[in-house]
Amino acid sequence: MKRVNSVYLNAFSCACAAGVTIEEIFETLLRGNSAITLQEGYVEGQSMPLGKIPSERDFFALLEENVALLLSKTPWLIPSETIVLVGSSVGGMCRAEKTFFGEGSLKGITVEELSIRAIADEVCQKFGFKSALSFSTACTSSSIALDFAYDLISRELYKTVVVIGADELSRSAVNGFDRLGIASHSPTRPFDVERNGINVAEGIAVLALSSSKTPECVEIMGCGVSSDAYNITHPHPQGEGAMAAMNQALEKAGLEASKIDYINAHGTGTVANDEIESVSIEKIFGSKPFVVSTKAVTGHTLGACGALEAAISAMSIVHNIIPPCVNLKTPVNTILSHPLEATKIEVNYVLSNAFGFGGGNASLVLGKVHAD
Amino acid sequence: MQINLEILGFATVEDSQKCTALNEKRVVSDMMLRRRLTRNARISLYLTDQIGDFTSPVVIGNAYGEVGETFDILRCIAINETVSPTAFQNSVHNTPASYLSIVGENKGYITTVSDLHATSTSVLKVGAVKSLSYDTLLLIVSDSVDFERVSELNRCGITLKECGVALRVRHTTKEPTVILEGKKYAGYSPSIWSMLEIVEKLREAKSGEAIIAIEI
Repeated sequence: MKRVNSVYLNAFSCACAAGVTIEEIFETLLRGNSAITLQEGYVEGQSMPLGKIPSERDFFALLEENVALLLSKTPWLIPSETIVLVGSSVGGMCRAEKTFFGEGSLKGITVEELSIRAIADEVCQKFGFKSALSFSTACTSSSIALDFAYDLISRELYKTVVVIGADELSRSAVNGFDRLGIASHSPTRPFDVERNGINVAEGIAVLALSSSKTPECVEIMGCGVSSDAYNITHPHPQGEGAMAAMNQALEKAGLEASKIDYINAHGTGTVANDEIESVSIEKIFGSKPFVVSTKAVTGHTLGACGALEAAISAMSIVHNIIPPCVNLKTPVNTILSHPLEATKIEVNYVLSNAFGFGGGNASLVLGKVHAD
Repeated sequence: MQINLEILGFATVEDSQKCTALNEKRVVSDMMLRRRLTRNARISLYLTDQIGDFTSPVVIGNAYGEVGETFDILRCIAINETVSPTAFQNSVHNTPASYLSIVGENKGYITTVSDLHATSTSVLKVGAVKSLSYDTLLLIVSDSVDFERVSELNRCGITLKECGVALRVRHTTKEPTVILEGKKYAGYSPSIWSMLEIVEKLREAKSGEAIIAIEI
């Protein structure tokens, strides 16, 4: 069971604060408009800047719509022969919150509703997928799912895999990040010297991967996964774990660092992440690739961000354009190339980072697919 | 598609309330770190120590996460009390993975799966696929539901409120020697049944190679 197949990201369907289709999201990113809005009802007595999907629809209804849209784009994908890999940090928690805050008791809650598995169960029952697995590794959840999808396809264990990154805005998460002191009370400013935290957000990204090329697909060339072994909330101060993940992804892709055109950074807007990610990128890549955090526009979609940002990276490759860094005035690192406007260049290779609570790191390398 | 795993070692722990004698003082010498450990982290560290492998890549499964911490956060929000930052950081599902990484200085692949009743089956599947990339792996499943209001939530008859199973495995092309039947274990969280059955069969067999087949 050696790696014999290439792995292609063939299609995707996404929703986040920046839009309810990937086209709308990418357009918002290119325009450089933050989609963060002030929301009441998450932290008592305060309006918080959050990334809320602009839809009145229930989150799970939106999830089903996105899976249905993906399947309409991929008529060759047979659900009964396809495994679903979910990455989520919240799962069905918001359903449990609604019941608990409404009834003041746990009695109206089922473990099925509140578990991470709730997402997989919902889509498997509705669409008849063969099986499902759910990863919950905080902000790297859906990147870890993509890494596993890469294994399944490259080793010929599956021909088609659907990866879902999904996290709904929950009061628990917003309050938790606020109490940890890393939720910004203003629009987040990734990589700026005056950054002061994240904007918590929700997001859904449903991705179809296979061993076959299709029009406008990109190749997932390599994934790297590492652990900091340092601290439960703070990244390794020298970025050892982040660099290990990026180097592993490059090695699996068989690429020199100099080949990377664009880095979709994790770029949460926290003091610690952006400082350390900048240093880590500089050490490996120098000043050549453009470095952007799209979280200034979308907010931090937690466990969904790896899949969502893989889709955004794929759009950059297919359309040869890189979105700008939004809300960036004075970069924390003056060596890195942060574009302040949408930039049209030939984008052949992108590296996308996701780093999480507890020191988990995941990097993906995506590449352009040329016609045979 | 099937991948075969050889079982190199195993460990279990269980209690009707909180597991005691988890050797925390010996396993985690740093007092500050030890005080912050979550219940699932304590169980995972104990099992890892019993097997004696802190360096292999790890696949951890838990069905409910730190459900006691999670509901403490909900309780605080409901009565406008301040949410504890420690409770929030400990409510994240991959907290045991993080503590294993920190305590064992393990900088490699450590992941967490959570598939409710199918959690240990998922741990085995992820472990089987990752065994094609690594020499040995540690597979751990644990659950801890010993918190104040668990009776409001516990409708599947769990009497062993803390339990965990760990297996040390490696990939093999040899034929399976242990056939799994999908047994159920009353009183245990269904999330650990698949791995519990493997341990039960190994104990019955007493000697010889233990090889299982995992359907991916």
